[in-house]
Amino acid sequence: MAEFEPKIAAFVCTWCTYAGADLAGTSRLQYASNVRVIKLPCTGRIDFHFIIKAFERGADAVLVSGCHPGDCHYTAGNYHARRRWTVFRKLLEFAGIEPDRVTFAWVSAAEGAKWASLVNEVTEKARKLGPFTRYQRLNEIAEGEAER
Amino acid sequence: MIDQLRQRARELLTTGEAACIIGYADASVPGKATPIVITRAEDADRLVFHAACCNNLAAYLTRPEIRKLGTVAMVAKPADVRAAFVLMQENQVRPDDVKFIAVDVTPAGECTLLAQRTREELLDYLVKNVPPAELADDALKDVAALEEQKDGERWHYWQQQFSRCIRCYACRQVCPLCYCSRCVADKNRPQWIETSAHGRGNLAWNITRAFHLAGRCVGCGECERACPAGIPLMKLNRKLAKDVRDSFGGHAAGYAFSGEQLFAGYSPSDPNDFFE
Amino acid sequence: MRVVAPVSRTAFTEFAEIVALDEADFSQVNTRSSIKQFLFPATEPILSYSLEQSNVKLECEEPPEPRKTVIIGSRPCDAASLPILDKLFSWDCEDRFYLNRRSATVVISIACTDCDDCCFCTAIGLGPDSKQGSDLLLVPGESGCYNAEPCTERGAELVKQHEKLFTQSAAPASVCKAVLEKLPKPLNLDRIANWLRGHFYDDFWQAASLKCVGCGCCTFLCPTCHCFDITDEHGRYRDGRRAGLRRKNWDSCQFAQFTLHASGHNPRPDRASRWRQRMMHKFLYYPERFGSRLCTGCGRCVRSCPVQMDIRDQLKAIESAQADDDQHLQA
Repeated sequence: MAEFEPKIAAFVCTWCTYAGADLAGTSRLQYASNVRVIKLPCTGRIDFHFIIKAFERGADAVLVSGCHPGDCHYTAGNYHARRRWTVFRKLLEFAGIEPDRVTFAWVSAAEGAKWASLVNEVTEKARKLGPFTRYQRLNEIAEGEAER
Repeated sequence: MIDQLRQRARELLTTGEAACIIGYADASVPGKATPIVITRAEDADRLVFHAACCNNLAAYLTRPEIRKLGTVAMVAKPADVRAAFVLMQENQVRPDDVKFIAVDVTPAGECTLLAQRTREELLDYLVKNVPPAELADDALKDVAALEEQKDGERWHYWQQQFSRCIRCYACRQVCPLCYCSRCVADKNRPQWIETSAHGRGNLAWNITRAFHLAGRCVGCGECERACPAGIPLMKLNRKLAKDVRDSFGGHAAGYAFSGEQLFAGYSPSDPNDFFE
Repeated sequence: MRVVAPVSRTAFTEFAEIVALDEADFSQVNTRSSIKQFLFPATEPILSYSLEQSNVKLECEEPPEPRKTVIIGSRPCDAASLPILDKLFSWDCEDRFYLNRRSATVVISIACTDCDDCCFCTAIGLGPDSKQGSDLLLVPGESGCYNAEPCTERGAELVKQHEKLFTQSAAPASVCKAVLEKLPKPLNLDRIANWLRGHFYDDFWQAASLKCVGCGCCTFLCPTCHCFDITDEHGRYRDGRRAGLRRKNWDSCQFAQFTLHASGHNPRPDRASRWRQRMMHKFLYYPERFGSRLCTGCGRCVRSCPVQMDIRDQLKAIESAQADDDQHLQA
């Protein structure tokens, strides 16, 4: 039986993390290919609905990453994001979503290696947790494939 | 106490200090109270205040029909004053457009009319005498009990609760802090929150509302009381109030009527330990 | 097949599937939400589709076979909503989703021996032992027995099929007098309709709706309210194709966007016009078109309203306003 390959959605900022991921690529670093990257101008633009929608669309885990505090291309976008995530991650956990399914990180444009190891780490965490069957069950019910 | 309340209402109307009073009247169902808006001094006798006066009347401050009337004097319990203060802080209501007829109910059930009238006096009173009820140790017990469960049990618990949600939005409509003229749940280009009353849509809705109230909810409990399906919404709100308090230096909503709102700002020293 | 009955597992008494009779609680005045959920659920898929480039493949156009359902313990006010909904859902088009479930449902009602502060079935022409909509009506008698009155052929058939469970009764059990004394007097619904017809524009609506917060409690819990929204929900990929579902969901005329047009115009832009719509629909438009009021007096709207809006007070005010008008006309 094939090993479970988690589907991971990554919401990253253009100026730091996306560039860092790009650097990982140009450096020919090999790392897990489970992440689907969604590029946004800034982590400050990331609405928590994106995370919920990623799970609704079948993601097993979500990664959110941007510029280090103090280095935001838009000065303070990541500070706003950080404040929001401080509370939102606790709400998700309270609702019964395993905390390891959502990871937050700061990855700069120079940290290609960090990006690679971060993706590997997030993939392993998701693999250990297994498919997000709880959310998939909600999807099956909503999409008419299962009875309530 | 009720005579003094009515007298104050009469004075506010006759002097023209307020164009209308938002208060409580006895409902048609015995033992219950209902919101009432009066514009004539002679109607002040319809005002009542007792333990069944649970509505958070600050919800009416952002109604266009009420705004049109002019300066409002509202009968306000501490949570309702806090809600009005958050509205002022968020620039939804001009501070001078709201006067208060502040009331409170003691734990013994005695109704009192507060001597404090101005917002400065009331703020002082709240800070000194009325800690946030939603953060009291007793109030947080059930939150703590849920936190101690395994995430699978919590998931199952909330799925059971949300399965009863029929998306009537009573929780949103009675909440004074849910004042958006177009709620995100009502937007469909794109549709971030599915409108269907299935587990997926209900989870998205309830998480959204809870999070949009983080740092703003004043713990009046009206959402939970209004919910026709008996969903324990205050558990979510208390949980977030606790996390906001613990993460942001003891912050509680409604103890200021000016200054920056919690999520409108940031600090370079905000918690950072959960980042890789 | 399933049997649903009122159960009191949480703070509220609600209809739920039971497997043993002792799970049921017939002692409460009524359930929080009505039986309409079994015929017209809060959300229901009506067709599914998948997309491949610009090709749309519709995958399911016939409603699925509904589960045979026996509702036991509904109150006469709830059962009375069914003939009202039957007319609506077979009016300009046959709503097979509703009608299929309807023909797969048997309703066994239990007459009321008590009421609460919010009940008003007698005010709109019904009663605690009304038979409308029920297949079988059980009237509580002495010592825990019920007098069973078949109201439809199906009800009679049911009794015949289970003859052993029934014994002949000497006389029909009469409904408890005590409850009739508590229930309100009948309203003059014609008089109310006349006033509504002549007062579309009236200051009454602004005053009557000022405290309403515009939620959907009254409409969603009402056994006769039937408005719905059609929405498409995209889902995940299925077999490499983007798939989705078209759903029929409860909607409320009290919601701000209920009548919002694609152009941006909203003919009911404020609370007053939306509240007026509710009253008009229930007591003028529906009666004019279908011959019966769109209300069974169950009182759920009054019980559940977060701000204690009371439709009875408004009806009484309208009735007496029209009575005054009528008197003036005669004078």
